[in-house]
Amino acid sequence: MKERQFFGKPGKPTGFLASLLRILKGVRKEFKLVRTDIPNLLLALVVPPLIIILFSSLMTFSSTAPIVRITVVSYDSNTFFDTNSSVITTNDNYTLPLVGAINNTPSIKLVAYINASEDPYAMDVAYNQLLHGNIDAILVIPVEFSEFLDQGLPAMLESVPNTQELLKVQAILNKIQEAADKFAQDNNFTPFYVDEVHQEYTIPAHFNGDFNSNMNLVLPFVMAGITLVLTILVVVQEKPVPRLLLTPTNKAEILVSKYIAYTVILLVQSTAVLAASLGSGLFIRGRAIDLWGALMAIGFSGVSIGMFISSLAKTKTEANQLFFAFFIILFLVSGIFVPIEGMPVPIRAIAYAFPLAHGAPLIDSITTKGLPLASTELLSLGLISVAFVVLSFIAIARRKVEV
Amino acid sequence: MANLSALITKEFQRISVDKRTLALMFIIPALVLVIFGLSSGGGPMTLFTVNIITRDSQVTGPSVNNSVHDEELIQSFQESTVFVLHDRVYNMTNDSSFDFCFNQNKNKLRQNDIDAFIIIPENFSETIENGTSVITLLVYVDGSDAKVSQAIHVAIQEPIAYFRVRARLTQNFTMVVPYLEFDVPYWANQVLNYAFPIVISMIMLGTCMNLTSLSIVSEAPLSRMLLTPAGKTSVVFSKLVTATVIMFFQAAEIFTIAGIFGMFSRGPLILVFLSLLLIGMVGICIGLFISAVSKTEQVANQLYIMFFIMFTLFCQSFLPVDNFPPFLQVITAVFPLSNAIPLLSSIMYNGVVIDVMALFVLGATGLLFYVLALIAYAFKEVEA
Repeated sequence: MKERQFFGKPGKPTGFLASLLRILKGVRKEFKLVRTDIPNLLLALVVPPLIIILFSSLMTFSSTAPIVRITVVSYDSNTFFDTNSSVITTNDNYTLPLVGAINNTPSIKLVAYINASEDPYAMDVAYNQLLHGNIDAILVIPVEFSEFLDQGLPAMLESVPNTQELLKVQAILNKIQEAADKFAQDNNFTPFYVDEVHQEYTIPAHFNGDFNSNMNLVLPFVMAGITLVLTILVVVQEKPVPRLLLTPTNKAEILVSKYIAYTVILLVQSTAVLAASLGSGLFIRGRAIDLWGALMAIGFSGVSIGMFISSLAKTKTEANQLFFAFFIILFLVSGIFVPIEGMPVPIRAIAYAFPLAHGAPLIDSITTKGLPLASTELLSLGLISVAFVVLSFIAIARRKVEV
Repeated sequence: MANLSALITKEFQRISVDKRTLALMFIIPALVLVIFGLSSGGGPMTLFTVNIITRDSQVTGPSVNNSVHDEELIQSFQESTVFVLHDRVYNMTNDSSFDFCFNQNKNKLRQNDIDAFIIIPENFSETIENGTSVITLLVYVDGSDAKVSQAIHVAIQEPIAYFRVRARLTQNFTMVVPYLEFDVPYWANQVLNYAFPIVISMIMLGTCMNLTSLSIVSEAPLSRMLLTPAGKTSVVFSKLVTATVIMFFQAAEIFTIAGIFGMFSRGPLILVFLSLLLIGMVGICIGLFISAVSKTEQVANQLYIMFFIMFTLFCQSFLPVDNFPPFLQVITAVFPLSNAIPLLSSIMYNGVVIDVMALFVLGATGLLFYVLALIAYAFKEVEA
């Protein structure tokens, strides 16, 4: 039998070539493992695009604006004493037009109008409605409202929104302002200024705005989350480790082969997610290839964190527990419920050490602004991935063998 | 009874050996609370970062150019509580420099350096002095987020109001002043208290699910255990009791640390503590169910992760559930976190009011999963 030759030398390959061959065999082994683990295969390839399609179908079901429920409490009919002219008045000629404007504003439901001059407990009634969640805001018309408007003075309205649900507060304030603008327009209050708002980088009308604005959070979450779940057990489930380590393959080569295998899977995942997103009506102002690159970068950061967890954990249970710890922190500092800009500096630093803080702005910049992939967010994701890759190699190097 | 106490003792011994699970239950909440608690400042609000371009110094006619009032308006923006000026004010005196500046700021908008830029027109001060026509302020805002672009119209009312008072232009002036009700007071830790209902609900639910999701499936050999006088119901009940005791100490730890860092509650603290216990109980019951239906630890782990991610994503606090089909709104409305968060926030922010529906649904969910766990365990096949 003819002896195999490698670069003119007989025998087995040595050095870098040998290492490369071992890594490639390791990659093949990983693919075989994935192929035989059907649930994991489904999780890797089917679940991510399925989530996107499901999300899209949910968002396109109904896109009606949420209704803001308001109770108006009016003190306008009460006695007003004008200190300049020493005249007592009870003008309330602008109260009903204001209430009419509120009632006719789309997406506002006027739950009750209570005249405080007839019901001294008007504010208590409204407050209880607010307390029990029956309304979203109270609008208070002060006693001097109509008189001040008649005299050309500023007329102030007081709104009391329920801040229990923080995410809805701005929408409530927006709607109330819309009602106030309608009141001014209906009663020919010529304003001294008009703000002409030009909205740049809007989603075109024939795309679903809600779906597109939420995809900036959903896409990085799906990519980072799924790749993290996929890789948290890949190192820790290798057994028996001592037998594995008796082969010429060293720990670093084992890990490299896993990284290569799961990066190839990530390529397919990112393509599937991109295709599902575009098919579901995602609007991209930039290039699709840039979005694909962003998905790859976010996904690889998830892979590197998962590999680190898997290298660090001694048992599968421990790996799942570490996953939970990382997931909680990753989710809490992602900016989903508290904007990252609103976080104190120490928490912001932790947020920026995780991929979601960079993934969402990166996807937003590509889809809505048409910016290129090359950006500080991509660099940050790269640094995070490198950091966790290095940590995973350190963790596996320190791994003790079981006897 | 003797069987039950023996089973409970066995469960405590089993859990005491699993030190990492215990560490997870007690260290993670402490870590999160310390991080949030040590941070001061911050909050759920963000300010608009804007640039202002003023063309008021541009000569628009043969008459004397007036450019006094734009400085008053700019000062109002600088003193505003909702706007932050990103750069110096751009004072444009001719069309070509304006075009350059306009494109520069449009690029900053694109790069997310600013949220909006405002253009004061060239006849601003003259129009104010003459009072003959309406001034148009041009506002270019990032329209990719519809809520932000609507919010700027509300936000701009504040500096405009300051300016109008300063310039004595108060006629035909209606302004809405918001007073936030049921918010976290300014003297309390904003980040910790606004995050508490969501963060702690997630942690309690997740760690308690984790505690019990392997408790049944990791029991081996099941057949030998079932040869003892202990019945299947006693086995599950003993796990519930043990996990509840540990969860009680976890809730006490969370409560104590949060109190040290300034947890704010309008309602009675005992109700907050009892709510934490209820959320933990629901997590324990869901974990028992997962453990009872799973054949292997790996399946149990994957189910636990899937359930937790699903509960978190669809807890009605992050995604716009109003846009979901009615049937899905009903389904997500009975998820544990969809009720745990409103229950905690109604006590902490509103005061004595308890969200009765949330309380009922949480209790029913816990009971349902416990019953399902018993049924699943009753049908669990023994290994030969």
